[in-house]
Amino acid sequence: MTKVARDEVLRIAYLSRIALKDDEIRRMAKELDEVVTYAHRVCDIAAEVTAKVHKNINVFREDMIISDDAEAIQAQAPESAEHFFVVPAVLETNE
Amino acid sequence: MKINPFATIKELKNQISDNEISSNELLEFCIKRFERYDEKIGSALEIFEKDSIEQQSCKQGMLFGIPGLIKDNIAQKDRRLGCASKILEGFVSPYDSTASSCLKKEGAFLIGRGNCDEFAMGTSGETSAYKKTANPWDLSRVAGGSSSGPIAAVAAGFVPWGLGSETGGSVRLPAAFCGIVGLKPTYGLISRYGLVAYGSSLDQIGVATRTVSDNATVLSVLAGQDLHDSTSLAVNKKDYTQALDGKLREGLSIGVVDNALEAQGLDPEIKKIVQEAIKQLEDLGATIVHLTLPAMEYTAAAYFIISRAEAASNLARFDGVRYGMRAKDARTLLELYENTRHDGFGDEVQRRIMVGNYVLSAGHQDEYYGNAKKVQQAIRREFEEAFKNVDLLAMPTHSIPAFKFDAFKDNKLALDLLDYYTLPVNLAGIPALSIPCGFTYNKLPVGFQLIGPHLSEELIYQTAYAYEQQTPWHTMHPKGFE
Repeated sequence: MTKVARDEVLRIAYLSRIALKDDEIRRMAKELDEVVTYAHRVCDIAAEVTAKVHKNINVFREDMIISDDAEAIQAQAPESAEHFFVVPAVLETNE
Repeated sequence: MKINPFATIKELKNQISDNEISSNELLEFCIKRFERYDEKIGSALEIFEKDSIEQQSCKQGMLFGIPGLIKDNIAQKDRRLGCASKILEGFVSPYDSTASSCLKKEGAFLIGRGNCDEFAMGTSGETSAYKKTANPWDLSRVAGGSSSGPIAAVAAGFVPWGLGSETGGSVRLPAAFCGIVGLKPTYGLISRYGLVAYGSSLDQIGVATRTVSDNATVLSVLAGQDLHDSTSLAVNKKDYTQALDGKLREGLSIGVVDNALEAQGLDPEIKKIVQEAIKQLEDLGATIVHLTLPAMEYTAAAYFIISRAEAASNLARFDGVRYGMRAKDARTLLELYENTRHDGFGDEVQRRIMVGNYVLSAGHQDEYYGNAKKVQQAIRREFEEAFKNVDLLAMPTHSIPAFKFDAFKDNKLALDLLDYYTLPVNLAGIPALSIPCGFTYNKLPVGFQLIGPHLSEELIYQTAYAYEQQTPWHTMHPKGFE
């Protein structure tokens, strides 16, 4: 039985912000299914693992601004104006 | 003065300091090697203009005048940084990675950008958006990935050192396929600042050279704490070549992982050659201990989940807004994201992002990600226990020799599973060195790896050097690149 249905592929594609064409959805469903079916075997031994997962320790630094050259970075933007990166409208309009 | 294309860093440094050759001549020589031969191999995406290379580096240092090739996911200031992907087309790095900066301070010449699998996602070197990288030993076969370019360039004698990166074996596997030495250091030993992130809890820059001593020299330049990378270890700079005396440490014990040698899918020739290498270490004085690591059977599954979950997060930044490629004619911001990422990322990258978001999505997170972290604990625990009884472990680096292009075109899962021998080391964060140990009947290189506990690079190098000096493999080079 497949684990990954078409609707799920579309949902994951949305989360991934990747637009898939129809033939790509079919192919992706199959490929995802193979990998997640294989990956599911972690459940086999996970139940037997009694050791606690190590807690990571955080590393802090002083809360100081360390700035880079903003102009050099912004110069590479596909489209920019003043200090802003320009993008299309967030919401569709009727224009 | 004739320059040997397969000279070691040590030999070249001596020639420069004895004024037999100048650093300028050596750089010219290496650039010409790429011009003459790289069309056959495809190791470099770009070779920089000669004057600009010399100007960027200090005029003295441990690697003064020694050219090397750096993977296209490691930042070099004012150079293109592309990760072999269309989505970063046109992007120029405004800063040096710490690794690049360390190398320049020690006088190394950073000659260009090494080809690789797109965003370091691959096992063969076939998924670069630009061109595939061929194995110098057999041009119909892959160099291995994802650090295909730098490794192939070193193996073919274009440069004496290369930098790659490892998340699941991407320096050791191509090093084994191409018959050279490849190091994955302890997690945190080399700064990740300026390494484009794939799986942040796994990524490490790795070193590729033709000899063990050269590898230790380059590591000496790179290793050490960096405050730009909060995961870098509090380790001071040191000389990793100190212990290379050609002998094994007194009382050294090496564990042979039996379930690794008996694994289904291990090529019988590779098994035999690796067993001979282990026998040679025994003849040199090592005590061989047999043991098993049962969690190895589950590391591929755990690795798939953890690496892809982290990749999905790390690659979310590539969206066409601030840099790189932007899809045309998007009517909304959402269309901009979705079309840019569809058009800009290759199939393999898209697949891994999708898997990552799947295993992290509501309803699946505990089942996949939570359990994968438990399995990661299990493999770490097994290595810790093993190192209570032995100093180092030995096992093959790869299950099959370098394969033909497109051999796994319709079987991506099988391709991913070729990392069976390398993955456990990345999950555990420990160091491992792949060294050449022979050739198959078809004259394809075979590599085996020495694995040690955290921060045991010196012991690994000492052991590998002793083995190397008793064997001819490091003196053998592919034909056709004289």
